Amino acid sequence: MKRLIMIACMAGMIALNLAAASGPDINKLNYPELNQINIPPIHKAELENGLRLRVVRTDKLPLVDIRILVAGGSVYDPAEKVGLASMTAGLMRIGGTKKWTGDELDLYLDRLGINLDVQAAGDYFSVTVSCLRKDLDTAVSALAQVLRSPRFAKDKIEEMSTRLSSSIARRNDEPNGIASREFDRVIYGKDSPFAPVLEYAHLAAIKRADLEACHQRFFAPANMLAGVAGPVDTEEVQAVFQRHFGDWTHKAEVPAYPEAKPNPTKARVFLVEKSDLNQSTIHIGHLGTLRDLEAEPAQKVFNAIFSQGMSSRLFSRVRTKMGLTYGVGGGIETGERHPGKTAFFTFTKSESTIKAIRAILEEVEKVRAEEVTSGELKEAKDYFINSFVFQFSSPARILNRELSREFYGLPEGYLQRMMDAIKQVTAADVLAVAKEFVHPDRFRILIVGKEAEMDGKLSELGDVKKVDITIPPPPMEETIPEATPESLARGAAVIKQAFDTVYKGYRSLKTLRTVADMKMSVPQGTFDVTLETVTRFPDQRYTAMTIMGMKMETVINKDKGVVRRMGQTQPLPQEQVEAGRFGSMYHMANHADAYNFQYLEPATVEGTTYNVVYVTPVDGKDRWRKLYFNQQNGRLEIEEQVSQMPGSAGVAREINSDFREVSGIPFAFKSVSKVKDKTVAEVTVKKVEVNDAVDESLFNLE
Amino acid sequence: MKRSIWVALILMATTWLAAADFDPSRFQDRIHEITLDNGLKFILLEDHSVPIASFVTYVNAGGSDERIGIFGISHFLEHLAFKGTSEVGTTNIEAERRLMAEMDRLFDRIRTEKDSLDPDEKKLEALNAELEKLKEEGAKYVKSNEFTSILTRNGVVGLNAGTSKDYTVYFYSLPSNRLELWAYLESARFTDPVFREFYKERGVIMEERRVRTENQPVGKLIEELQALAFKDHPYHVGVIGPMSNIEHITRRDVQEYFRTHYHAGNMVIGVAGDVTPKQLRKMAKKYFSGIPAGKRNPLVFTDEKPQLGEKTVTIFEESQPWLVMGYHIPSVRHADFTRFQVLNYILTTGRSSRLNQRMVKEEKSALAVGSMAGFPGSKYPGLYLVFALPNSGKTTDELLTTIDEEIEKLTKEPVSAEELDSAKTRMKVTVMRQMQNDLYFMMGLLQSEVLQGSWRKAFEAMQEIDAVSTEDIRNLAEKYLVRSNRSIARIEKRQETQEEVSQ
Repeated sequence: MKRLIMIACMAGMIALNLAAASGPDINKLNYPELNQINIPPIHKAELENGLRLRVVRTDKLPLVDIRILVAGGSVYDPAEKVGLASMTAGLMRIGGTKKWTGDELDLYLDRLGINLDVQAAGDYFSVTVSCLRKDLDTAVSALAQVLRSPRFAKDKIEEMSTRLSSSIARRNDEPNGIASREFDRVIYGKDSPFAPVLEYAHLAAIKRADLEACHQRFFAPANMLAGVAGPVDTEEVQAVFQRHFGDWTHKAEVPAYPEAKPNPTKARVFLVEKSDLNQSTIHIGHLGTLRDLEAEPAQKVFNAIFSQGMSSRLFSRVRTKMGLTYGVGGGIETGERHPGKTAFFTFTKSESTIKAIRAILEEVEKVRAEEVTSGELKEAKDYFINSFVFQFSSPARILNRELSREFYGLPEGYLQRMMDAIKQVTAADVLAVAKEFVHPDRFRILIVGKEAEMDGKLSELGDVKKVDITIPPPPMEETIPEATPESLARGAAVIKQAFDTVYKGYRSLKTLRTVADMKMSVPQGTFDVTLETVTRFPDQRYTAMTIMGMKMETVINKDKGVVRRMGQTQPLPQEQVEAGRFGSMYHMANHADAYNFQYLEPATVEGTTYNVVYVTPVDGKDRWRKLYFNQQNGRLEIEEQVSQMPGSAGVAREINSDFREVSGIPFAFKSVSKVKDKTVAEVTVKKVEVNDAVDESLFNLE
Repeated sequence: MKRSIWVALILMATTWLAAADFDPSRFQDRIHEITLDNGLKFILLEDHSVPIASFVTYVNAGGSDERIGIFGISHFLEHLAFKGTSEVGTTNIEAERRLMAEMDRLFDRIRTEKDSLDPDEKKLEALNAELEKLKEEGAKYVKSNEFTSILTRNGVVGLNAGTSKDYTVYFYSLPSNRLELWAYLESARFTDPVFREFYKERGVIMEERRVRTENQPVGKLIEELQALAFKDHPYHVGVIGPMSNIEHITRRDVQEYFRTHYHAGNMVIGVAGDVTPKQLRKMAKKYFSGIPAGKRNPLVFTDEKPQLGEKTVTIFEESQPWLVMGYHIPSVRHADFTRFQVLNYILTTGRSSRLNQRMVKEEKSALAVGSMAGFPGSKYPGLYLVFALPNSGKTTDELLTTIDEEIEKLTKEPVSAEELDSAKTRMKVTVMRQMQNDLYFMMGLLQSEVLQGSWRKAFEAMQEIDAVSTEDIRNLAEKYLVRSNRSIARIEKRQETQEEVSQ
């Protein structure tokens, strides 16, 4: 919620040979020599137990800033426990310590204005502490508690788990977040440690013992590199750290760094359909490489000329000349320990999606075909040379760079050598780098947007794959045993019996019309709803739902569907068309081969015993239903599935009663749905018409 | 004794002494004022530790100074202020001006046709095609981006600008030996700007509105909240303005707005870094004397009368729920403003703050909570925002009830001395942290200079914070945090179809 709109304002640049132009007198200005850059020294010290200290003195303000890098991080999370490092880090801060509860620590730190934070990045944990100079000892004492003896209290684990759960639910709310997340998965692969996505199943799998183990695995003195900046001497810093960390002898066991496996997908274009948008978010790129000290100077010059900053080609073309976007950028980004990405991004109104993508692709072709101009080259190099002084803009900045350098094992003097090398970069070098590190034939293009309003067919750009961003529901409370040929055969037999006897009417069903009243309980309150469903089998259905005077209609006609509300018609996502068909009585009766019917142990509910069948689709999609057939009369009296009701997460159990036969088929005229014992819906059927004539115009998709 | 009581006793014994540790006058000694004959004031913060300098041009004009039909023009102008001058950014200014005038005449005709009762689509198509041709022709004389290009090649860092409802700021940093370059370019662009590439830039601004507002549920929510909370005062419109106005603004409108607001009496310039007063005075006199003199523009006189009752709006989006509320509060010039900033640290900022403690930690009803004083601005009476995100399965209603209870508590019992002390300490340390960065610090000084009458007011912040009492906080809650004074805006999730139920 910013009060300012921060704008990077620029016009694009036409590449000009500036040396030849006779510009304004601005070129005649004489600048004095730059005053000397006094680089404060970085003092090094080390405790006996291996904890390394790097201290920079700055007397600007009575504040001390500490930053500690600890080898570890999210790349080491096991695949089934994504989020372990993040949770561990967060809980080290909020979960309390051996001495103090989380609340006591919060109170204590707030009282003194001390900021203390533990975060998990990909390759490392980052611990930051900021305090008044006079509180240095106190702050380091608290820091030691947090790092050495976290409590991982149960109620704090619950707090964190709840919040992480909520953040999962929110992850599809904004197009930018969706695009970044899904693009990384397209590049690195869906289960890659370099594109992790937290799911409910991961949260359920992470136990307190895992958090403790993670903490033990990584947090140890010899695995910590600490930077301290403030009005402090190295001796004092060493003494303070010695006092609170000196007797810590624990050893870390950092596992082997995971390998990057390229995503073998053959598709080129990936679409995330989001029909509430009028602007597309676009990422284009491919898997990149590791940092290469030889190639880096030319890569940096390439990025400055091609895609980064106000003078770059992409900016100049897509934003300034074409006016298609407010933001465009990217470049050759190398990775420190796992391959980076060569990628570009932009966003533009739906109607110029393909136009913007083509513009970027054309610019890529151009920069790979011809050398950049001498004007462009000079401007980029001058930029690096003249802005070099900002690398030393503050002691904290110098210190942070040094910490990273040391952490990743870059050679001393790396920065100066890079600057010197940049001065030598030629247009030929830039062309070579463009050819070696940017491969349009490997590009994958990810778009989040509304396809119906785009300027053309995405298939023009290559094979299209639709990305389903539906959030997988939380895992069931109970675990279903592995299916065996026997259990599948038995389950199939139960189903066959049902449709041979009690429900045989479904085999030859032509049409069905039901009218019902429903009481629906959602977080906003309880609402009265009327429902009307008209089905013409096998694959046409019309549903009208009226709530508070507003009618919402859904029409499914073969493989397509639309939703109509308030005069607006929108396509129904393919996902929902298929989900609607799954597990319906008609479909199971007539397409039994599309299903796995797994027999489970019979269940007794309120005195009645049921045959229980667990239904999943043969095509492997993540759907399921559980059907309970009354052993006495064969009626389907209980059904379970993942709750579709807003505001309720978990399994919905539907109890059917008041069965009446209509044209030989038993229908439940009353049905109550509960999630975790809370009633979410009560349906009272008013009318059932079997095989009557129906109005075909209802299934019109317009 | 309980552990927590021990902790409290220990804390009481170590109260924070503001003055002993930190003397802000160290900074005051390094600040100089320079005023030119045309009334243009410069504020210099000397810092010779690194040979860099940061520059901020603060214009006392923003969204509040607009009127219907040209909402968004301050921001539009901000974009155009990077397009150069009659010297920078062109190969032939006469040809350019001729073409720009033609384009503008054409646009007037397009507007007239479009705004008529029964627009002729064919005619519009033809006119637009003509405009496209003129744009292409005009582009031939434009050296796109020369302004930023010159700065880039000279090592500019952080080249950026911002527009709010209260002001427009332009800023960047350069190696300090480029002082004259800054003086040359900055004075040129505010004496002799040429608003070229006007029609292209309109497209860019429309995309900006789409990305910030129309395609983000929270962006939409904020725009709704502003519109709801303010009936008369210009704070009721977002800075970027509605699409219809963005589409209708003319170059002439921008030039007029520029002349009205960008003059020496309505601007203050800040320089922070490796520059001496002597150096700055020389450059200021040489280059900035051409900025037209003028008196500080008056405040907008349309004010917002007290709400007659609580207002609320709910929007249904493809998003999880959000709850935001705004209470009308005074401007930054009123003593209560600082008190509201201290209240932030009692209410929502920090793990031990009240709403955090109850809603995030104990009841686990909220994913996050927050608050802020002075939305969408502080030059005029704005809003005190309180917002909360429900955890899954929790409702905005529940959160609202809890917040109401907590506010009630604030009015009934004064907060404890420890709580207030803790809030003050955190706020003072935050103020101190902001002084670590010369550019941010300078922005704060300019803000104080223009909105409070003097940059020296920024140094009174510590005393003002210290002076806040527990009774002040109680009075604040009682006076302002009342239901009739608030506007509530929510996002609720759009309902899905009920396929499964109707089988």
